[in-house]
Amino acid sequence: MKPELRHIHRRIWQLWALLLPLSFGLAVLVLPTKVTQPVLYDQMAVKTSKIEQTQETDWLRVQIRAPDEMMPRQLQIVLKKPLKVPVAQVFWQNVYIGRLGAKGTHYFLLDSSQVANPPYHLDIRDPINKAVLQTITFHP
Amino acid sequence: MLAVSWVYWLVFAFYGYLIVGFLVGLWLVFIGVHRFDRQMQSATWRTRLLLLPGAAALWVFLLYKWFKTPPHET
Amino acid sequence: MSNTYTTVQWNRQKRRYDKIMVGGMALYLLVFSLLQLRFYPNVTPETLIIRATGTLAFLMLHIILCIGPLTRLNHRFMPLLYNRRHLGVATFLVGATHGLFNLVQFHSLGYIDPLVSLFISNTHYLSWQDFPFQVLGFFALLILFLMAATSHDFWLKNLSPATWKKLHMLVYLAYALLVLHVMLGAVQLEQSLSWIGLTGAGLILIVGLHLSAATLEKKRLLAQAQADAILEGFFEICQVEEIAENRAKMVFLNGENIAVFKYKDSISAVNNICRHQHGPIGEGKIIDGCITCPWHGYQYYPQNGQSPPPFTEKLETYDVKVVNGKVWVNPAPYPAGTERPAAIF
Repeated sequence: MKPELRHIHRRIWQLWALLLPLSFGLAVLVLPTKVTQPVLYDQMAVKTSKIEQTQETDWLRVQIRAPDEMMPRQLQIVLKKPLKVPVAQVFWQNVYIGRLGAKGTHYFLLDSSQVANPPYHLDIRDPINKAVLQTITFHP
Repeated sequence: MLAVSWVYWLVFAFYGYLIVGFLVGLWLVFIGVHRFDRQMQSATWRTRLLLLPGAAALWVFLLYKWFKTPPHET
Repeated sequence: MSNTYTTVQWNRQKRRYDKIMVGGMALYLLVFSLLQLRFYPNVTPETLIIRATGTLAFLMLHIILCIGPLTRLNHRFMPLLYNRRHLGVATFLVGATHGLFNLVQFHSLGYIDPLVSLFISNTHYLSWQDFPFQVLGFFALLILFLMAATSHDFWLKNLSPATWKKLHMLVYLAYALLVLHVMLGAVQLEQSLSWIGLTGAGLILIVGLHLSAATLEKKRLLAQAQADAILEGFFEICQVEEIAENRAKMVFLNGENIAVFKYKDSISAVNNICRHQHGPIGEGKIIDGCITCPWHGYQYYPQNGQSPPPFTEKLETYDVKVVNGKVWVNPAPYPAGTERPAAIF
């Protein structure tokens, strides 16, 4: 390779050595707060008996299940159809609590602070297209 | 919104460029190329098809090369 | 070089290279899919393909980018370079599968053209966190396409090697775009520590390798330039071993008749003509530390061309250097009797 091209190579990588770690670090800094609770799928969830509320749309059935000795209050989302978007995030009172995957039932645990200030707003958002797919409000 | 209509224009210009590129590229890799690269004369059709994606993308450059080279006696 | 183009100039090594490559790719896809099914049992086939092809293409790009600097750091890595272009084309194909599935799954469900949808469905172009990362992937894929499409020798010749090389240096831009594509895309959506860690490790590896290869190359060039500068005006004569101990090699350089003597790990050069009766000094020997003319025994010190006192005859002297076991002489003469340091080997 010609020395001139070598020189360009070196300059590019010196620049990249500066820019890439910088943008890498910035991308890590803006990461949404990590979700501490995992998404519970059908087989993993322990269902509490009493359903407090149910709301339905053409593609979702959302239920709030009452707490018992074993489990805190649960949000149960049933996907009636496969999602049209590959990633759907669930926001409870504007706080990210997890994501929806394939068709089926998803459970999210709600602690007492999350059910302290009714009414409750549930948003399903598509983070890739930055769109709100569904908003549901619960009045206890 | 102005910006969105610009995106439409650019994307359709991109499609147009590729469609024209595909047609011109076909002609280039099978016929036109012989004028400026004699090594291509004995190339197989498989080799020519292998060059087609590049020709469809860089057809403007190849066409310019074609115009610049005077036709040779055969 | 043949006088016609072939589709691929196959040979045994290339076939072996490609077999290893395809085998490795298949193994990766298999292991990745099994792990996905294990940890995300509800994953859809489309999402599985998107994840598998995306990560595989990114991994293959890392391998490609390591090959160049590795071969410059150590020649043992040369075989990796052997069919790098097939590795590049394969990377593009895997990346294109990833892109196509994304386009279908994310952007082909509405009434808008999929590519237009790609650009306008998320318009947070001024945001960092919400940046439309898919656009970055699109442009990286465009670069990989251009490189794959022009990988045949036909393009190397018709674009001219310089233009071709510059076009293919766009891969560095593609890499940067893809690092951002991953960090602002998959990593933000998944918040997976392992993806952050792996991307970071890849970044350190790639940038580190390129910087160290570039530094090494710069040192080599500098050493070469220094050697050139030091040896400017000098002519290569012979290997040190070609001159017998206490004997000389005679050379004509720029009209100068020069005798180059070897003695006690040193080399010195003096004019080859004896001041007494123009005898060929280079045919003589060094006796008692003095060059001795074969004709009448006139003597001179090799370092300064002076006869030992009380004699006053003097020879012109020349600069000598020994570089890598070779003797170099500068034929510009110093005034007779000028002391010049001997070249030590």
